[in-house]
Amino acid sequence: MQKGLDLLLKKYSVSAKAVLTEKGETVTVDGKNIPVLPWESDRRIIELRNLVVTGRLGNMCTYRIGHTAKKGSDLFALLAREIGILEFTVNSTVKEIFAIAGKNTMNCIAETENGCVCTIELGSTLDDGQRDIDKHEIITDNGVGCDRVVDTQMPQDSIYVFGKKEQAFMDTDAELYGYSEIEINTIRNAFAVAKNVDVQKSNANKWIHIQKVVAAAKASLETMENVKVEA
Amino acid sequence: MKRLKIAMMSMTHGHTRKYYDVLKNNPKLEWIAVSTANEDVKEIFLRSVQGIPCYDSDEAMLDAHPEIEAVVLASENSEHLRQVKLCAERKINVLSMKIPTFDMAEYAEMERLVSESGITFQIELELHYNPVVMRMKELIKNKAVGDTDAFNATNITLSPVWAFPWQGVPEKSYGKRVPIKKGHEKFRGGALCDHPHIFDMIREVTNSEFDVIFAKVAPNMRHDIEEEDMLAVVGRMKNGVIFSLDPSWSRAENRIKVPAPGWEVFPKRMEVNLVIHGDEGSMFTDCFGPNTYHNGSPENKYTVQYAYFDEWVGLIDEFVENIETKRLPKINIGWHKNTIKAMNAVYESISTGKAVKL
Repeated sequence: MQKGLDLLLKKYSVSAKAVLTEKGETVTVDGKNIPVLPWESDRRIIELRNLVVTGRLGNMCTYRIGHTAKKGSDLFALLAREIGILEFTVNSTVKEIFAIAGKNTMNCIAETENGCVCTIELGSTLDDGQRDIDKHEIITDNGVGCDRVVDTQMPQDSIYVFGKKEQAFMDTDAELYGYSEIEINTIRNAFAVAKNVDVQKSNANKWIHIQKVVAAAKASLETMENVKVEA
Repeated sequence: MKRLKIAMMSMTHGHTRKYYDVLKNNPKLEWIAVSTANEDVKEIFLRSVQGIPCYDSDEAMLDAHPEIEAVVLASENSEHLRQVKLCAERKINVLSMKIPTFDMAEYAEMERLVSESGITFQIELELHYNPVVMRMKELIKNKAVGDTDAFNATNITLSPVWAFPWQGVPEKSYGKRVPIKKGHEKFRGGALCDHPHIFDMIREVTNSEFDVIFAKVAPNMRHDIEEEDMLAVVGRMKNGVIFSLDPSWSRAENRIKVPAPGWEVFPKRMEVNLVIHGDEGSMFTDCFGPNTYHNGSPENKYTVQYAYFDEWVGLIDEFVENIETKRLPKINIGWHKNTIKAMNAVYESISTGKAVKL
């Protein structure tokens, strides 16, 4: 991913020195370590947010989030990502959360400051080689916005190959052609961090808040209580 | 870094607004000025972009800014030859919209102007810079479905004629007023003229040229426009690959003057879907999907909110590099001629009712 980041830095003449960690969780910009929020650079998520902030959708009602990942995935890391997406897309912050866990699963109800009641259904049940399945559906008093097409259960791809082997491909970024979706979103967000001090501050603050929500979810799991997120 | 001094002309083309961001944000470009063809597009431009000088004629702009090195011809097809002459005289490089002209005598004149002036002349076929298309080409090259046997493609959209009226005027779109066939009330210049992409793409992907084309015009969806909006095309390439191409305006639209949310009636404004059948399987490609979806304002109808649409970034990168390195553009005037000839053959087949051998 560092190669992709370097490509963008050079092309757009960004002078900051920016180094991504191997997994892309943080980027060091001129010596400062900043969390990377890939979902904020994911175009389908950005368009969901645009529907909210431009007023195409109405006042928040409910929000349905589901994310099924590989066996062994850290459910709290998944929760952090989905809380990040929730807060980014509805342009508000989570104020309280209730969580309940199974063996490899966790379900939550989170409520945001702007009144959105969001269910978050997480699972780490898929085998190696199977791709994550996620869906984000915002339901308002003036329409529904969703990153998955109606009448489908699985994420769709842009190319399906039925040859000697079955394959599917999803390509979203010509400048970063060849990288996976998550790599592209990570590189794009690290690039945004590198070129804009405001994004650095925003990412750092948002990540601190997300961690508080995750901590509240952990507390809820222990107490079976609806837990308010620490201010 | 030396930046390329670039301008735009006319601002009447449907793709005009696609250039706003890229001309402002590409660090290799310095956007110098625009010329607008009429008061309507001038008003739209001034409302959309601030700080770029705007002139009422191409000549006024070029005279005021002799430093201009390149121009995007964002104009109706009927203006292209005149504007190419203006640019060639001044050795200004040109990025032309997708149809230089349908008139092959005019086309030859453009080729002469480009050749004698030595300018870079690139044609805007943005599908080449689409990441899904890049993947498709790679898969075909690697024979993911074996040798190609059939190439079937849609390039179907809503009709732009209400927002970009010249596309509804046969003389401006096709170049002259020609009935689509004897006894038919519609004229050439409609959906086909808007959709050269798949006629171009098949040539590259199959590495072959058109051999036989047969086409039929269908009853119009929009009865009150002068041109064809629905047609079907089939045929065969010289290497034996057969094809089916649909360049129709088969997606209904609201008749608004400036593209905006709510333009579409059918949920998706544009579908470029390619099906490649090979001797070892098949491949299904959606060049503009999947996306994000909603039924919010303004229409509260199920609507595709396009998520991935940055073809113009790569297109402009290549244009700048072609000028810098004096490289022949991939979609150059010589390459594009056979695409235009094929599209003319579609009209000929519709008119004669017979397959056309190229």
